[in-house]
Amino acid sequence: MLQLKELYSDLQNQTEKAIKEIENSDHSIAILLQTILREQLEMIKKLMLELSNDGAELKNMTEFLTIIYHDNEIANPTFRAWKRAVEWMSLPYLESVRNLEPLFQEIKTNLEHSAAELERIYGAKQTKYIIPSFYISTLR
Amino acid sequence: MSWETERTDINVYSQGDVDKWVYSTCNICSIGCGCYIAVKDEKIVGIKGNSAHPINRGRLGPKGENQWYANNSPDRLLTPMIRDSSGKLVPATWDEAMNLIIKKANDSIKQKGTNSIAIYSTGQGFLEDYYTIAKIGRAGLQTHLLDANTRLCTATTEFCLLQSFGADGSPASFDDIDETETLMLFGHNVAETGTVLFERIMERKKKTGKPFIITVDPRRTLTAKAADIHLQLYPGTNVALLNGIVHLILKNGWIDQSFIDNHTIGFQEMAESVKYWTPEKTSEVTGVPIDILLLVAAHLGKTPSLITTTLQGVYQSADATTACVAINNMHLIRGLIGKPGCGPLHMAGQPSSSANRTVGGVGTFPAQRNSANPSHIQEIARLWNIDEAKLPVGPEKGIEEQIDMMEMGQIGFFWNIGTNPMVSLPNRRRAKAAFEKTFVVVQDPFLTETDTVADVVLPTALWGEKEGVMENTDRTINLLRKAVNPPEGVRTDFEILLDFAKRMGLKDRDGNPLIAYTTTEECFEEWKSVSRGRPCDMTGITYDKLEKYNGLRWPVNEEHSEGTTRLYTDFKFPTETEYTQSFTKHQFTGRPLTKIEYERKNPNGRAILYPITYLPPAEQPTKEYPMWLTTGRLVWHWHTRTKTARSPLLHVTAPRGYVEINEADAELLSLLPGELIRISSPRGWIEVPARIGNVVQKGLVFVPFHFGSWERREAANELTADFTDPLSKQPTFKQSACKIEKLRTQHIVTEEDTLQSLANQYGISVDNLQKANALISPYDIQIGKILEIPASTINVPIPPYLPELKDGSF
Repeated sequence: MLQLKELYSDLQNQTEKAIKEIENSDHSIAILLQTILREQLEMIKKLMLELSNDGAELKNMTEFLTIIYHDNEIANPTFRAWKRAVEWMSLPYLESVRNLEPLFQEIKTNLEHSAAELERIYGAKQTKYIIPSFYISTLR
Repeated sequence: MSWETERTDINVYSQGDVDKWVYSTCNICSIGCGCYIAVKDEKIVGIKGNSAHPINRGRLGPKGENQWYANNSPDRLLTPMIRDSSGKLVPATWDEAMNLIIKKANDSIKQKGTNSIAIYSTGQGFLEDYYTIAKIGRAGLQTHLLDANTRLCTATTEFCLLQSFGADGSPASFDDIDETETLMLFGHNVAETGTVLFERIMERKKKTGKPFIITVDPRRTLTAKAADIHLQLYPGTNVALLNGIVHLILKNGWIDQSFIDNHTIGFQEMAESVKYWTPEKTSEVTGVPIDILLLVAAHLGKTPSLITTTLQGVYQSADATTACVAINNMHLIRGLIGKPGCGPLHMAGQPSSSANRTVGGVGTFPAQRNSANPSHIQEIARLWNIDEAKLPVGPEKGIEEQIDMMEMGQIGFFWNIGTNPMVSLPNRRRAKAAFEKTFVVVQDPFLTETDTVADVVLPTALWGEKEGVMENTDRTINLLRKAVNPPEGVRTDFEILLDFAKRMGLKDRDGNPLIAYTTTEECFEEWKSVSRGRPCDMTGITYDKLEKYNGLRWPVNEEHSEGTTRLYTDFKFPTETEYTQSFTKHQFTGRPLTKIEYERKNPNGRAILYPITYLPPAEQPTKEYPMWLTTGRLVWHWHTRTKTARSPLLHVTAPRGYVEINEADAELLSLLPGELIRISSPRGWIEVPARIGNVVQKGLVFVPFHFGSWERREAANELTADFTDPLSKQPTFKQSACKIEKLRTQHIVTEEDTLQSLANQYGISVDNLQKANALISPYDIQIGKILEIPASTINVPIPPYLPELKDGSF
């Protein structure tokens, strides 16, 4: 559980940083990405609150976790689209994209680690509908 | 039946009488016209329309009439091919090819996991192929990467229907078009993409003056010319227009309050979202004049019946799913659904893309099962006799996300069935580079542009050489009988899939073969049991019954033994939590909602209204790329011309790519008709002749997407941006930025030069030389003046298709 707390704490920091990097743009893709990241952050905060309780139960975290994973799953391609848009339309966000790139990678990696940890603690059956297929290794 | 008269279109090339006519269905567009295939000496020699089929009463479109030439094309692939160590595709035996495929699939699973296998299929295959793909892919390989070129064509249909009504399946049918007072063709150029349906519409219009036709299209298409009102909006503003229309409908109280109260949820939020879309604002964003907006809104607000069709002008545009949901909203607040002549009719593009969605070869699980609902997954596991834990669940990944995965080395085996992505995908150079990073199997009757990235090519049977069923755009299941055997060395997609399953040793939980059926009819019988009790229930269908009734619309079961003309006649929608196909997605971001979020909405049998937010297209003209680029289809060709380019008539009629430019833009650039010009975007460039006219609006160019050879620089998808819709993940082909560059040499005028001598020297007419240089008179040239000489001009007369010539009614 401690590892999960640390992972989600990192995730919160990374998401906050990502939001800051993109909050100044009113481009369509940026607006989408901001909306996704803000929801992701809101859910991480709720999750952290739940985790701060002793003996946090999966059933109380399911909703937050599912939304976080699904947000991240759409945030990644949206970020890649944003990167292309910035390059193609010469938008003044190249620096921001450079900063965001490692952040998105770190967020994805953290969520993969968290997926493995959740599966270890609660089992594949319990987490099947929480963690999207692509965050869990299918090498068995 | 709408057609009062039959007209049997026929195209046969045979010495003497044909030996037999075999029952079939046209395999080109999504209309699903009944036909018979002419066979002589075990060879397909022609086609004729099925005059008893209610969809077409014997009529066929130009592509339908000419599709059979491809069967006899001398360049059919007759043997598998494998890329050898020198990088060349060389002939191989089936055993060699299949063994290599099995080895590579197993390697990929071992090295990268089951989700490293992708099957990318088509909308041209048969229901039985798709169902088998679903079973092999999900239960056998346990991959979650099942997608198809339907992602480029009808993904938006599916997701807008899931959002609003809880399940896939077009609420209205063609019969409703026959009855409706008003027909809105939204981004749907039916005159060129569904010629027989267009004839059906216009036949009624000619006789009765009905329906009142409204078209929405940035281009002045043939469909737009036939309409009562054409809304020629700016590119990428579909949602803005709909918001303006719904705003006026609400403002004027043209709503069915009782229907809203009893059969929908979400009205207040929806109404709030369009509050600020005044006619002034809408007009400013869309370019549609206020008076026209008011007129259209009043018509849509008061009409007693309305069918709204949509196609690629919506699906491949910015805000694709949102626009379709806005259309669903409009029908719901007016209560115009589930009644004769009423409902949205979100079209499909291909002849059986709907079947792929229905049986789960793409998108959700078979028979409209919800992959986020454990009880649905348990049910499928039981039906397939496999361990539930083996079934991958959660949101699907579209082809553009799969390209990301290929770039990251996450896909080790990509099986491409019946599609040509190297021509059809946006930003194709990027796609090509991604495909080159993985092992690619291509299954096609011909060598295509995609074979440049193939490691193995498998030759497959064409229409007429196999048996199965297709689902058209209005839920009609049609049968196609086998007319002839495929050429020696060629197998059907179905046979290849079964062979693959056998060689892979795919088993059910009892150790029996996962795929137990051996014929398409047996497969269909199994599928029927999977469909039982679901919205697409087909338990009442048999092959023979399909032939007897000339197609049946699902659901077909004990209750509806002859099919179902329209859905939701009881105003009950499949939105109950345990029954619905989807817990829906966040209408703005596309994030799948959880079961709890969905239950909180509590639709429970009611349709769902959504707030609608307009987001401008991701790419827009810039200083460097100042023009809009849109892409689309011609009446004479189908997709990447794999079949239609092999028909002499179709090929000769439209042999090359071109760019359509507004006459005002052409004048500004002093362009000549047919002048070869370069169109560039941030992704690439093409060089094609210019067709100048007023079909496209000023500031917009149109390039047909059919032409994609690597040798000739004319592929529209060299230019297109690969952004996708957040909900349907369908690429936004219709809005990219581009620039026009003239390909001209310069000539400095000397004292010996006259316009005539220069014209002779460069092989151009005096008139054109004058026009190319904006010279008012022949005497405007002076010594030292620099004249521009166009590289070349190529005449591109694309004649319109005139079905009137067939029945002499023009």
